[in-house]
Amino acid sequence: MLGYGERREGGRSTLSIEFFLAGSLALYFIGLYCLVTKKNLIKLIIGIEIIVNAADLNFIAFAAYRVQGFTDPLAQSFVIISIGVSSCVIAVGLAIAIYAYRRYKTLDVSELKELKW
Amino acid sequence: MMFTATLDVLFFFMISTAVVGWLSSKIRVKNLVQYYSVIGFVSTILFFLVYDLPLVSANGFIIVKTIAPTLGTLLEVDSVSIFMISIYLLLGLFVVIYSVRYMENETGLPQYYVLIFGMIAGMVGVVSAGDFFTLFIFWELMSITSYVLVAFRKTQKTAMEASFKYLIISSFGAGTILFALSLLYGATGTLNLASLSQSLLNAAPTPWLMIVFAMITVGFGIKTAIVPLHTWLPDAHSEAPSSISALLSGVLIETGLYGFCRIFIIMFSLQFRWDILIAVLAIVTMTTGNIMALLQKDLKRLLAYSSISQIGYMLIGLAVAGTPGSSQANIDGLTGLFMHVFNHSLMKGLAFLSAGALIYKLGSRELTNLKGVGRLMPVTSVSLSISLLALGGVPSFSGFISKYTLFLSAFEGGMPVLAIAGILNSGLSMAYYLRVIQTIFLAKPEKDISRIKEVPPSMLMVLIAMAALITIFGLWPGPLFEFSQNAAGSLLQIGEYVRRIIPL
Repeated sequence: MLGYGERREGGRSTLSIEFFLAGSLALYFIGLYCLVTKKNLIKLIIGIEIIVNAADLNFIAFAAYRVQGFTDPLAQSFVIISIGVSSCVIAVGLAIAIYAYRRYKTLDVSELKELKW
Repeated sequence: MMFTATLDVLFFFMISTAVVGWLSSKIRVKNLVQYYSVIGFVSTILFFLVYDLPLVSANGFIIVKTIAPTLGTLLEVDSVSIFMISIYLLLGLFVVIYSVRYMENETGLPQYYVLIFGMIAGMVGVVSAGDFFTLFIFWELMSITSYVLVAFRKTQKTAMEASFKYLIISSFGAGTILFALSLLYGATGTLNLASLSQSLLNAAPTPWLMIVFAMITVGFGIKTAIVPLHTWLPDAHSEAPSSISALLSGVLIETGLYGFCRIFIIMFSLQFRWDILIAVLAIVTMTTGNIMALLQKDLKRLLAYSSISQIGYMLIGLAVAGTPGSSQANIDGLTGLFMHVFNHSLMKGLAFLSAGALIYKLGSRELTNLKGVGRLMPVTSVSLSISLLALGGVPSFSGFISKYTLFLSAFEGGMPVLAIAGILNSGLSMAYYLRVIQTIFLAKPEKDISRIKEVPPSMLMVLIAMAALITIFGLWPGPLFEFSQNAAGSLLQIGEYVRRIIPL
């Protein structure tokens, strides 16, 4: 493994895999924090997107680093599809948020409390 | 042919229903799209019976490579998949026939049927997937369509709230599964279930593997509505149209359970004692579900909480299936689980469909408004009672046999606590099932409901057929028992599964 900041042939700068792993775990927990604390419907959807992106980042990092000098097409195609799928979730989520806004006249999720246990 | 015959036909009808819906609005033929989707489900079942079922019963499996052979993405249909697919198609057919009249006054019917086809196709894909790549995509297909179906009555405030809650919680679960998959991929370099089984089954439980295990438990647990993660279920199941509630409760949450069975047994069965975790979750899940159901005043919420407690009974089977030592107990536990999945899809499907029929006529879900309706809508009320008695585990109905198998396997597998908890909970659950039956038949109506009539014959036909199936499987459980035992046996043969896929 090359040291921090050195360059591999092909001109890619190389951080070690732990940086990406730490970054994606941090992103995952940021997304989780966002889901737990935020009240705004749109921000909750952003939280979901952050979690999915954390996983995607992990896939891309592993695809490049697992085997030296070889990038796995499986993980890359999975990420492309995962981006498409997550955008579908976001689209549905935003549509439902719009309808919820029309019915409740607010984007505050703590006002959506007609259903209790 | 892209996938298996069943999936291909489902996708064909998913796309063509949209076109037919557009055409029917142009040429103004009433109910065209409803009948077209009934035809769609009947032909899917025919294709399943003619193409997939004989192949599996002859060879034991079908393998279809999906995207590119080198990537190791494939569909693997074996006895377990066949078992689950037959449940999905059966309940799907019932729901579609029921919806012809139940949904006729709603707008956006083409979308409704497209989404139902999409949801069933997603579930069929999840149980046929041979690798996590395919499984995740079909999982999301199933989830996204169900979010929209829960929000289908878009003029209702509460439907929006329930659907949004469901969307956020469930997509968090999907994101967590995705993260776990990325870690698995990093550890092994593959997403193929058989290769993962080869590299993980005998590996030492490292901390990273523990994280993967925890994340997979949370991700699938959210969809399965295991108790600390169940909060979306009562809202989503009670706010969706009743036909959709039947599908969500009857088959969608069991798809999560299938994920548990497959993944735990194939990947983690030698590393962790996950059976103890599942056993604790089973007790917590069924007790909480039953106690919450006791407190409900709303019929559909009561049924939704009862689904949670039924998931608890099914988890008994999964816990027994994971106990080391006795392989006969493992098979019996899984047999009970699969039988209960099958019976629950019919029982809870019937409960939601007949409750939907009552609500359709009365316009209210409150139990106090359903008083005395049994005399005016006898067929619907009797079928609701049959489903509730079967759910409670009264002998001569199908729920009894599967619960009996589950509890017996718990004794056999050395977990008598589970069986005792299950029996006590069954007793507890009869309290609220009998309360509903008493309200419907014996209580005096509070206001004048004498003009209420029985629902249309096409809906009644579905209810009678399902009630008949529940009674038949209760009195004559042999074939179903063998079918489930077959599925359970094939799920537990890990070596066979790996050998089937790895040489490819």
